[in-house]
Amino acid sequence: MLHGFLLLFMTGCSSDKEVIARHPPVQLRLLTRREYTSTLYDLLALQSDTPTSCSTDSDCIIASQSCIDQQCISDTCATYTFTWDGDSSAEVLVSGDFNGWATTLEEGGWKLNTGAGIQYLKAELSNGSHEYAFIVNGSQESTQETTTSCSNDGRYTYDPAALFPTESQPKHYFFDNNASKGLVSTTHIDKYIEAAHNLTKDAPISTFVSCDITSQDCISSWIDDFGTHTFRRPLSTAEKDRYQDIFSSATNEEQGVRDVALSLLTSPHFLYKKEIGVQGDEGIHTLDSYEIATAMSYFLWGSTPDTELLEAAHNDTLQSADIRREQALRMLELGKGKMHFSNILAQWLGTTNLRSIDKNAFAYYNFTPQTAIGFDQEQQSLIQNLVFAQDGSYNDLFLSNQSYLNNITASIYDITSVYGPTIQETALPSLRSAGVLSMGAFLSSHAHSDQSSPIKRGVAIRERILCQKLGEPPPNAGMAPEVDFNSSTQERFAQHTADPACASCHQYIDPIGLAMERFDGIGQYREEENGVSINPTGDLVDVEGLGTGTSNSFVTLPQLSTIIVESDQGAKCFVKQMYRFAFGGLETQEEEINIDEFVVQFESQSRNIQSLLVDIVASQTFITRELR
Amino acid sequence: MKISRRSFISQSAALSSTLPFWKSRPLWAQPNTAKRIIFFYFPDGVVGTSESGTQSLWHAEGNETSFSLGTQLAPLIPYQDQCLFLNGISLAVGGSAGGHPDGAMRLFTGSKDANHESIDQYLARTVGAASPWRHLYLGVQSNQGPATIGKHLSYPSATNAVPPQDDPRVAFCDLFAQSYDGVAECEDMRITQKKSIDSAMVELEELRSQLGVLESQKLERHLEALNELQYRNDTLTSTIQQAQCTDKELDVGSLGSNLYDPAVYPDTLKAQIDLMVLGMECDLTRVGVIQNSHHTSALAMNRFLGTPMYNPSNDIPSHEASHYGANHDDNNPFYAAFLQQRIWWVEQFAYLLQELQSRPEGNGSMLDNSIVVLCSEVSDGNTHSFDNMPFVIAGNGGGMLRSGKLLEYNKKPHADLWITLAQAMGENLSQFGEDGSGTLEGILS
Repeated sequence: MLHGFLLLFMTGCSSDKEVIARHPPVQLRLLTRREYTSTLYDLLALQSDTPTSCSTDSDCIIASQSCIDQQCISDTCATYTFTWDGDSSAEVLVSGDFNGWATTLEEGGWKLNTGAGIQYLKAELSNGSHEYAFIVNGSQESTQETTTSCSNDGRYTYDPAALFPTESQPKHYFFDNNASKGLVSTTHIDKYIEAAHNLTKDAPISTFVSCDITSQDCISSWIDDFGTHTFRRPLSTAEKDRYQDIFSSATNEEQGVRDVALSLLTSPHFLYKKEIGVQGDEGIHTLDSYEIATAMSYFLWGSTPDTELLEAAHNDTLQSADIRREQALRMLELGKGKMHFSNILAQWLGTTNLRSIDKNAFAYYNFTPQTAIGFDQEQQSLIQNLVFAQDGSYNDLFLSNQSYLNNITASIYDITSVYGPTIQETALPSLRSAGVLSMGAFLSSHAHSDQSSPIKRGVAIRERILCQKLGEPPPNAGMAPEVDFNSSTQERFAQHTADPACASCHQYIDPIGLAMERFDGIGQYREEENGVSINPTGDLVDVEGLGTGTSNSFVTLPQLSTIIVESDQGAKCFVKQMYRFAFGGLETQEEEINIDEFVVQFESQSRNIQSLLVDIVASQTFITRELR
Repeated sequence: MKISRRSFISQSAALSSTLPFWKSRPLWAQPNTAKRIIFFYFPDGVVGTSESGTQSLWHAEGNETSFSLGTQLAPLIPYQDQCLFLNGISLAVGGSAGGHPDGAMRLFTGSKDANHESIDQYLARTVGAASPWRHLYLGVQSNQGPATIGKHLSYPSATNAVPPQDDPRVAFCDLFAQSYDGVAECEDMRITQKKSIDSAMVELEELRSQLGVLESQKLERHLEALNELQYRNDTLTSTIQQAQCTDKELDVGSLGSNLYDPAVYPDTLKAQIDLMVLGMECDLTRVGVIQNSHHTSALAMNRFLGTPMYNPSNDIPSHEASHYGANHDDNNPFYAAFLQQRIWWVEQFAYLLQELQSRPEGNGSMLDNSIVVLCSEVSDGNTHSFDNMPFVIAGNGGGMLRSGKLLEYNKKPHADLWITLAQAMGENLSQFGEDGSGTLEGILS
């Protein structure tokens, strides 16, 4: 493999034609909405925790923090803390619209924990107003009310990027960071200015500067420091002078600081991540150390470089693969990228809009906004635990029998031993031990609001998980057949394979999707639908490539997962997806060589996911660009 | 190198940026063209030809000059002489049916997957370029919920949509640089904008000269956007003063802190319509879009306060109602709700026409000089048909449009309609989207 790589690389050098498209392109990458928000929170330390160590929640500020990994961490915006400070020996349940006003533990009531002389319970609630009452030793107290108002993902009280235009993506590109589509419109600029205005106009001046703003030294060093963090590189002398001028021409020092911050935060140098580099031989560009620091932190954290990474850039050490490896390991260890990475994998799996998913109440009376939150928490916990806490592999993502459930999601899975809204690690029954594929997140995202969708599921597996491109549906392809209470979904979708015009594509889709029918549109297990028994037999034909003519039959989801992890294509596709995300675009045919290289490394490391991320960062490709 | 019209325009914009920007702007075209255009969109289609074949309750029937309007178009009877009713237009690029997102992406772009600049944005940067606001994109509860595909209609560049402004109070503040209720904040925002733009301009120019040809298209587009905002800032105040529009007010009715409460929808839409008319009357903009909600929304129209639909105990979300079944069955609550909702949308469109008609302009009314387009992203809501799309064109377009006619077409792509209307606005457009190749007969006078 290595020989092949060197050979191609060398012949590439001798001919202009082959140099083209062998490396990721020289480009400017506009911050995505997620990146913008995380960056602003990091830059302005809007949610910074002064690390306090703890052993239980009660060591922290109980109303707004939880003890996680022995540190007090601020709760997400959507987390509400129910507190009751009566008799500590009383049994207190909370009952409300969010748990169907259940009055006993068995029915799904939520029991408060005892700690530090108070009874309390934390739960993420959906946006909107909620009513609840405490049930103390079996008798209900008066009703109370609380309102939740958070960003769509439940994380932030204020999401500065909430009204920015949505990113668009080319076909077969599943991430929000496609560089070629990152174009600035007038609306973008309007929104950038509005966001920066909101962030700078009233915030305490200490959000920006900690020294005495009437001192010139303070302002110079602040412009230097805040400018470096905002632009992810040091300011030029001309830039420093210009920001000094902006400061000086304001009506007073405070306004000066706000004006400087406003201009920095709406500058093209802030809004675009540069991957331009320095041009060397044959049109090959090598990123400079600051560009490398930026590429690393947005790949691994989805946010701006920290001081240590900028320091490494300043010392120009990031050109070294070893130093990049070292830094990447440090960055992963900090755990800052956990949330980011579970989001990236959710983008890959097509499950990011989970919290806003809307199911038809007649078809799925038991799917509430709390179910969606529970599925999202399950998915995040599974990915974060497998990838980070357990340092797991690609195979684990598909074969895991662990899950993280609360009483609401457990009831969807028919598991009875889970109580309360706090997610708990739970072993899944064998029929559901298929990792991400059997999670409510995947099954309900790839479904209609009132029925399951064999098509969406089959397509998701082909395109997202196996990176196989299916043709476009013909223009006259109908909509999903209407729900019919006298037949099963399997029967209603049978026409695809019966009609030869449809069969050319649907032969690849339906034998997977139809076999997943034992899980309904919200992921509940069933063996029959409308009295018709569901045939669970499926076939993942041509797993290594469409048209290869292989057959791999399965009966259960774990068996389907096993076929995927036993194939070469599944792991290769995963590497490809991470490559696409890292470089912000679809690979060229020539770039497949780089991907193949990563696949070899990935396989040799037992498909360990963190290793793949580190290998990508440490590779020469990571810092090499070319002009397209 | 092939120079597309787009890159030509962005290059010329880039060149002109060395001149005082407003001097390079064209004056608006000949007096004999439509002065303005407003697109009025409502989601989820209409009661068209049913799945079982029952006749459409939308499309007008008769011949070109003598025809009767379907149930849903009844609110337009008072304006029948100022409208063109178009039958037989298909959503461009073929296919007799498709999903809501598919339809919404095609609607303004004339292209599958929204792979083209949208018509409103094209008009914004051509006929709209001389106005302080090239384009005014107002929504009502259109940003609610997650970012689904095709949610918003306006695409400044292929596949890249921008969101409407859902809050009439904020839109008023942006548009007039003054608060709708006298709070000073809005002028601050104008000052903030100026500071940011001045600084960003300098840095963008630096970046462009550093990078040379690298990513030049991206940066030119960025510069064009900055230029547009700078031009807006430079011209807004004087335009408002010239038009004697310094003391305008806006009634936002019951609109409170919750923009997405269905109860306040009617008042919000009325405020957005009023604001659109006001913006046009003061000549702050000539291209406008009003987007109602978005396709497949869960909007509970039965909670619209003060409307005949009001029935808060019986939630039937907009999109669910659209799947009313195979027949036009009056006893089916979904069907009844859907029909009633469609009529309500058309009534709101009629209110927009009324407001335009009540304002004198030149020898006639604003409506006489306007083009007002009623549209949705599918035809029949239940079958998702892309044929026989529900288009109505109102206003005489400054004499450019015929009116009071029923026009029949045989599956002409709707991109041809956009070409026709662009020509009515004085633009020399001959191709648009994927298959727009000429004008539709019978529309231009």
